[in-house]
Amino acid sequence: MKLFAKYNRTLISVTLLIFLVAGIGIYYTLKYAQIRQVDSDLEIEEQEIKLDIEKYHELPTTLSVDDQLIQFTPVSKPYAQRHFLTTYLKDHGGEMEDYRQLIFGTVLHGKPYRVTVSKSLEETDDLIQAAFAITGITIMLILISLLIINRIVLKNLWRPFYQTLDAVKGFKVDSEKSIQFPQTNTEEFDAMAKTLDRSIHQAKTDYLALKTFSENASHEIQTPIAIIRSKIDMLMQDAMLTEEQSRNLVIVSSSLDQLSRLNNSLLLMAKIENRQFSSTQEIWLNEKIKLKMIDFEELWHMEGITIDANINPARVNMNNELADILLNNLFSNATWHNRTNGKITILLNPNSLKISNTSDKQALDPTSIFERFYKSSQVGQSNGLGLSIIKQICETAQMHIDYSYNKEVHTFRISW
Amino acid sequence: MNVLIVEDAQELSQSIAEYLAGQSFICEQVHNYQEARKKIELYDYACIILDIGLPDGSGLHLLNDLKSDKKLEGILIISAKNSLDDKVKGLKAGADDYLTKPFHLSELAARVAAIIRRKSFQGNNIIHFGVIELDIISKTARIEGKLLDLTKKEYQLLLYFISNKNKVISRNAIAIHLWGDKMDMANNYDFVYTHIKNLRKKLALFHADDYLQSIYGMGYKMMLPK
Repeated sequence: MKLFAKYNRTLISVTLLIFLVAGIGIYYTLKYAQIRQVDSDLEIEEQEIKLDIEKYHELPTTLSVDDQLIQFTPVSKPYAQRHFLTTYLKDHGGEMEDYRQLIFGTVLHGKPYRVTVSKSLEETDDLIQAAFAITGITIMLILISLLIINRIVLKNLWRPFYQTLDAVKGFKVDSEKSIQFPQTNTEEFDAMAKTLDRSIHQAKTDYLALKTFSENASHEIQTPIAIIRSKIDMLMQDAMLTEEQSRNLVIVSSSLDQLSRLNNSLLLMAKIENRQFSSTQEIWLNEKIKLKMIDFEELWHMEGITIDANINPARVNMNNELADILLNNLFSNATWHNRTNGKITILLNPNSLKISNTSDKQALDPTSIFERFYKSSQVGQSNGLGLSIIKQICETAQMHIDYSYNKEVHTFRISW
Repeated sequence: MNVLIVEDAQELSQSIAEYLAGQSFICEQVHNYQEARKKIELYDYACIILDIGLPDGSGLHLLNDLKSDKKLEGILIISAKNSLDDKVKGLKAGADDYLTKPFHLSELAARVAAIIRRKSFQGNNIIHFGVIELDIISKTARIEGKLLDLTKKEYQLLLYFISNKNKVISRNAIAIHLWGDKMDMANNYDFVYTHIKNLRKKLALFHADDYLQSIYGMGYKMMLPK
């Protein structure tokens, strides 16, 4: 649930509760004040009546006003009680209204009377209701304003947070651009921006160090290999070499080739692991495969390899260079591990690529073929990294690959 | 033809110079930016072999200098870096070609020859070797005016040998030249052998098959018979 909603939920419920309690409190307070006021008036009336009776020795003629009634009721025994009472009476207009009464006893000429003084609560009730209504409306207005203000103010206050979130979302550790965080005067967001900035800076530095390391390693290893290669090439030019020397030289030369290829493969894998191929784009595999097929045509022709290709449009999102390496490795494997006059089957669908090749070689072990340096046999001078690289590229591009073998046909299937 | 080699690994630049000398190139070697600048200011070169990985990033610096000075030399970048990005960057910065270390000297020689041919303003489209004539534009070969029926790879192979005349070229170098990174395994020398055999057969039609010599165990060499 959004922060707004959570905050509002608490705010509204607490506010409503408080206002409810306050409302009830106000009502009863007003009511209490009203009754006390009226009671005090009734007492004054009582005093006046008693004085009048004392003075004039007769029951006072009462001017019945709308909101006041005085009744004298003779009783058999002296009325000793004195109490207040709220009751519902018919007023002069004939309507039923609330009245507050003071009932007391008095004696005139030795005869006991019960006196009931009633005062109408109608007008003050109206006042209370009005006061209550105004209070209620005010509360509603306050509540609504609070909600609106909260919404507007909070939205504005949170904007830098969402801007920062967007900025970080687009972050790529290998991009040269630095992230601009919005400037706020809000302490918390500024603290967050500062921490994020520092972390990002650190990540970039670390990444650069890693990238530089693998690139420097490349340079460092390639240079001695290049020097050896050039010296071997020069030695080969010597016309005075004996057969034995030539033989040794050839062995040195092909070992160096192997070393060089191995080094290239390892470097490639290191770069993939270091996310140096992190930029991706939409790629139409059908187009790439068609080009690759043209590339390999001559080889296939020479080896008498027949091709059965069913290429349908297929789009993936991956790094362009890795896509080329992947296809190249798959095609190379299918070609070089094939037999003369063998066959390669290529099937490309929107979500999968299947490459099969005939082979004289036995089935590979599906559980371990993708491990580094797996070799089913000493297959020439292959360095056993080709499949590992294929697997690594698939993992990076979030593709799935599996291998199967059936009747002398090896099949690799990639799906996404 | 003058060639300037800008490479900080002296053993490597020495081998390059020796090899190219056999191809009738006059080579000078420099090992850092300052020396390179001096040479470039004083002399003109048909081709500059430039190690883009010179210390302190000066390789790229030199490349930019050459381009901004509108120098006409052909530039071949040699570099330990293999990524597509670096290749694209190098070519965009004005280099004519990009070769990754380690490389065979024969490959280097073929690339230098190609650059010089392209840069040559003399309309020099025909390469002669003995009785063989290669037409660079049409990518065909003739002997005594008659067209050789060569496949694309066979023509490439022939051009490769002629660009490295009198040099022993290893089978691996040939395989890499013809198939580049499609070449996964080294034991497909059968392919190389087949190509050589086919090429020889076609040369034999004109009695030129002895141009292409097999050097025991190591590779092949193209040379004019004594």
